[in-house]
Amino acid sequence: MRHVIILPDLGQTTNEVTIRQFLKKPGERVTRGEPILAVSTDKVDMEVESFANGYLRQWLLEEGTLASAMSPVAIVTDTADEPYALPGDDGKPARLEIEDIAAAATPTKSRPAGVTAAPAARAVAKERGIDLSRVSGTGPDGLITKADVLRWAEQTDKAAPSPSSLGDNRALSAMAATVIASKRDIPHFYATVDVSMSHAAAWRAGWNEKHPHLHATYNDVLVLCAARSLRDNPRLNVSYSNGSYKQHSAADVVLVVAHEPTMLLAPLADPCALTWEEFLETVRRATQVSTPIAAEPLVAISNLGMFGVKQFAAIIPPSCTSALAIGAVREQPAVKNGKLESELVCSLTISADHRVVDGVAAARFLERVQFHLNSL
Amino acid sequence: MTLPTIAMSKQVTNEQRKSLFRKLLLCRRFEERVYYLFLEGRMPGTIHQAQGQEACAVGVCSVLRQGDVVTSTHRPHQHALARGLSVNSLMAELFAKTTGCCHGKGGSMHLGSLEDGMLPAVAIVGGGIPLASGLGLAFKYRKTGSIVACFFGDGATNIGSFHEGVNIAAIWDLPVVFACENNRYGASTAIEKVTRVPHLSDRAAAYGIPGVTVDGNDVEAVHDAMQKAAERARSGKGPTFLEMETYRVCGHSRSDPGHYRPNGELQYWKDRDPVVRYEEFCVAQGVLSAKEVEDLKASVEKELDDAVAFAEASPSPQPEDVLNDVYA
Repeated sequence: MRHVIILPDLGQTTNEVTIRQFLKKPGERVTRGEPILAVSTDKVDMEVESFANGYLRQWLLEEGTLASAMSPVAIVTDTADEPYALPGDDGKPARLEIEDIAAAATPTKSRPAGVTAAPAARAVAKERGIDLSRVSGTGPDGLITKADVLRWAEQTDKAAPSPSSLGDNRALSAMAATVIASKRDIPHFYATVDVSMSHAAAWRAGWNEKHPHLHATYNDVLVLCAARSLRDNPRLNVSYSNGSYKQHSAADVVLVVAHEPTMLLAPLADPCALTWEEFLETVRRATQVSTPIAAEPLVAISNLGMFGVKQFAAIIPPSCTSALAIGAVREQPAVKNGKLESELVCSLTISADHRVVDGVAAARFLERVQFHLNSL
Repeated sequence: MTLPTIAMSKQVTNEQRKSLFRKLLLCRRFEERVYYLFLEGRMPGTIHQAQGQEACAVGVCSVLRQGDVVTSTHRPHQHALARGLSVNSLMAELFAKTTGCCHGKGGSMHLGSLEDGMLPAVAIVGGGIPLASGLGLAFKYRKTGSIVACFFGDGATNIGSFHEGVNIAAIWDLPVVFACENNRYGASTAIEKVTRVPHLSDRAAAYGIPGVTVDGNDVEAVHDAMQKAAERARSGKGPTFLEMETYRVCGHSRSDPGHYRPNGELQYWKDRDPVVRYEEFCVAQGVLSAKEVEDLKASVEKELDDAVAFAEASPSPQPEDVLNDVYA
């Protein structure tokens, strides 16, 4: 029988654990209660014991790794040579993923949050089915009294029906859980440039004239130039997980597409490898139907320019390490060689995960987008 | 090495000895089981355990009657087991299931059941002491004849509520036994670093009540001292401060490796293990045969297996339940 040894949740200020040292080698016998590895958190050094008698077969993480609590770390089997499956290979998830947490956190029934009300007020509200969060309190510190509830009931009996509630919405709840995780775990920083779109606009006009059935939008042009810049800046194409960094080679990107009431992520596998026709068709397809592709994009691209938004900063999706926010393409005065001219510009803002990307890397990426816009 | 002998009680019968041994064993094995469930990732959260202190809880509770109440601490599992709360309801509570003694909402640090004679535990150090005196006042006022056994650790004796709670019980002759489990450490701080008196029971003099120190790893010594204190409380003569010298062989919590212990200290106390010591005593005295000991161990393991299965099969509280069991 297989036993999966996990990293314990040592609580206090962290749920991450560093593996300091393995105390046993694969093949060695272990007994229940025997320490098999030494771990550290920012508060404490501990030894982790095996909960099973048997043989240590395999370490699943490496010494020196920083990993989340509850991550599987070793396999112990009852006998020395029985075959075993790795966690995750047997259909059971190795650990809770973001989606599971979001689903688990979805409330099944909404309740007033942060309402302070006297017991008598609560009793009356319950009896009459009144949502206390909508009643304003006149008691000490805004406490809702019974009189407040009765007064509210009297007023609303005369007034129009209350605005409808959005109720339970799994999509919104999942979005809430995702953005909370992003803002909590990813140290965002931001850099903005104004790129000149003059050359790109001329190129686009030419393309669209020749391809009346496959027009390119400014967004298409900017997405492909961003992908090309990513290819030239591998520093941005690095993922971070549990204290280890991994360089990705393909310049995959993911488009953030509006999908009421929230949005969906449309990944594009290495757009640089495509011809313009292929690229434009791929984008159309990806933003209309969600097809799983073999890509692990680390750069998300979001565009609010079509709504006239000049510039904005995006939240990095948990699976990515940066997000590029595209604003509206607009005409503005520019001084060139002492003369006032009109120029097409667009504001690009990158949000980047500073655990992975530094300011210089982000700036070089933005600079290179301009290069590719000018090289179309 | 041979263990220090048990101070054989004149009051404890051999039948009671069997029951005391089973309770000690249950407390030890329950704590161990919970620890391994945590390592397996089946039981969440941090938990404060009390391996090594079993004789305190079992000895004190062995004297209590129906109607008496125990108050407890952040380390309450053994107090609950010794008081006789069902293993199923305690295991389910640790798994946060509705079948738990607090419907899964108390967890490790707040478990209890007033119907079964245990106020849900108060995890704030020293927090249970004034409540124990309050319960004692209620028993005295209502003339129920019941008493309160108030468990707390050595660290709590330097908390303000200790002074207030013990003093008021003393001046009103309340039926309370202040049962201090002196396990030598307040979390990681050795008691002598924060306390000048050699015995914590010396502090009883400040309140004008009897103070006794006993070997807290000898269940019969604890039983006898508690019986005397309980008789005094029941007869209206007031509280007793009962200090039980013991040792926590596990960490303060799951994230405590115990690196603050001086070399050799842990082994010294493991050599005085209250469960092993009593097992050897019972076999040597002919109270239990080796076969009976094995049978008891098997029956305790079976009871724990059943409790884990019961807890894991029990339902979790639903969001709708969140405002139930709320009093204020």
